[in-house]
Amino acid sequence: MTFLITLITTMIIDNIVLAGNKGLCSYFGISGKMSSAIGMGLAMTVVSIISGLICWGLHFALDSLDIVYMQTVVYILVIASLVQILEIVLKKFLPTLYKALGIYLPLITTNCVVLALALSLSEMGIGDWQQVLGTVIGMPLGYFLILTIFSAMQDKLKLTTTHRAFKGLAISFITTAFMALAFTGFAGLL
Amino acid sequence: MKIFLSIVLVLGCVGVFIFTYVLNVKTKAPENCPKTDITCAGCLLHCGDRREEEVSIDVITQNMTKGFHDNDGNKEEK
Repeated sequence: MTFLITLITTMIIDNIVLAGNKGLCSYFGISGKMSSAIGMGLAMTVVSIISGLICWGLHFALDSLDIVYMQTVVYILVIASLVQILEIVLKKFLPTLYKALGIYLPLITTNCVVLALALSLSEMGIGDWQQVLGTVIGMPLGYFLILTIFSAMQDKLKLTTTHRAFKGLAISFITTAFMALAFTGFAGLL
Repeated sequence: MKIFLSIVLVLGCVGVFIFTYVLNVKTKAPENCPKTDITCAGCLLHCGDRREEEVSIDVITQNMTKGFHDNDGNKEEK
């Protein structure tokens, strides 16, 4: 039950983009095209889940060695290495997917959602494994969900007549703000 | 002992990254694959819509300067 509650909370209620204000850079950058948004969302989800679990395990090692202050450096190295490995695997075994995702793979390293997930997991102990699993799956899926919804909205936004002052990024921010307001309604779900 | 293990852990992570990076560089990309080592000059660019000629820093800078001057007192086109 804890797993399910955490999953819904991190995915919808405390969404990393709308409530956490993280990952906005790639969120606005990639949402221009639906196919790109789905590709980026999938790649992000895979990397986040694997790196989150590795970093959670590494936190115990860092804690026992009294070098928790080094966690950001270690996590970034883990994430970067994982992206490189993912790139190699896709190059070798899934060239079609590599061609589709190629440009977005290196961008995952700089995505703050992955690091935010790793850092938030480091506060959880072994006993909270259900919460860890819920967060690890829910957070990237929440990003994926919002990215896909917003890319569909971008298509509509392109067709609307907007005042010059609000064109482009400004109207995107306003739309996201309204989306965030709408998503607060899900707080009553739990 | 703790200090030694800490150094080993951090250097190990650096080593793993360097190893995977070298391995990735040496792994051949599939044929007809677009280059992925192009510089993203800003996260706010719509990376998915970029074409090769739009990606170079010079072109982006020119476009940004052009856009800046266009907004500077020019009338809105209808």
